[in-house]
Amino acid sequence: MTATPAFPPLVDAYLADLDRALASADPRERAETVAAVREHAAESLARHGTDNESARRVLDELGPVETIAAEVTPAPAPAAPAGTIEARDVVLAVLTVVLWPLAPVALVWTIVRLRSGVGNRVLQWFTIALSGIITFGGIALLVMHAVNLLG
Amino acid sequence: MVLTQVRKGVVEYCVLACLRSAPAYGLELVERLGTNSSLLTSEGTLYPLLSRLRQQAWVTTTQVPSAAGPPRRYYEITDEGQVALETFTATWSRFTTDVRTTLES
Repeated sequence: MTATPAFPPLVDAYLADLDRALASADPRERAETVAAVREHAAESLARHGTDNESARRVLDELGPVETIAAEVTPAPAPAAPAGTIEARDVVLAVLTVVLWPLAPVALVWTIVRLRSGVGNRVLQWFTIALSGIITFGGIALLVMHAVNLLG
Repeated sequence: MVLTQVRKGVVEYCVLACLRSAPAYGLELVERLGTNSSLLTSEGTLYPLLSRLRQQAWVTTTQVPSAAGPPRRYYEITDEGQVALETFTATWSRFTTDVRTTLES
């Protein structure tokens, strides 16, 4: 086994450019691609020599870094942050539990806040679920009561 | 432009086909695909594709020391890769027949 030879500056610069060009790629694909291109360059240079002319030929065959970058899978978009917990979100959640007859108001208000993208989304979804159950459960009980009265 | 579109979803199976006979390292795979072939835009574009094939578990990689230079990363087709290649080959055969029939009609 022979150790990886030192690359001509031209090849080092190409590999650094490639790594930068893959900045928005899937991290694993980026690391594997750069490592594999490095090995390809080392193998080619071992065959053809490490002078500048050979280095240029190897890089020509590898192609522009932009062409390689065009083939990679973009990194997955980071999950949207849940948002900061604001006093209004807490009040709405508490309101739903303590003053349950106001659940429909809390439900509408929380939906409006969620759609406008302010406050903490996790707490808002919790309030929506809770107030939704209370609101629609209450409506269902009212309907059942009315049916019993009519019957 | 047409070639770029046609390559999509096809070249990966050509790479798998090149690995059917024996595992190969990157430069060797480029030679099997044909250095002047239209399958790759440039030699470097092979590597993102190989990384995806590895993530799909259609190929595995092994580092093997080389007497002539640095260690080589050998790519080997897996059983899942073989199945995917067989499925593609059957589909491709029917597809190309239909395309040829349509173009020559």
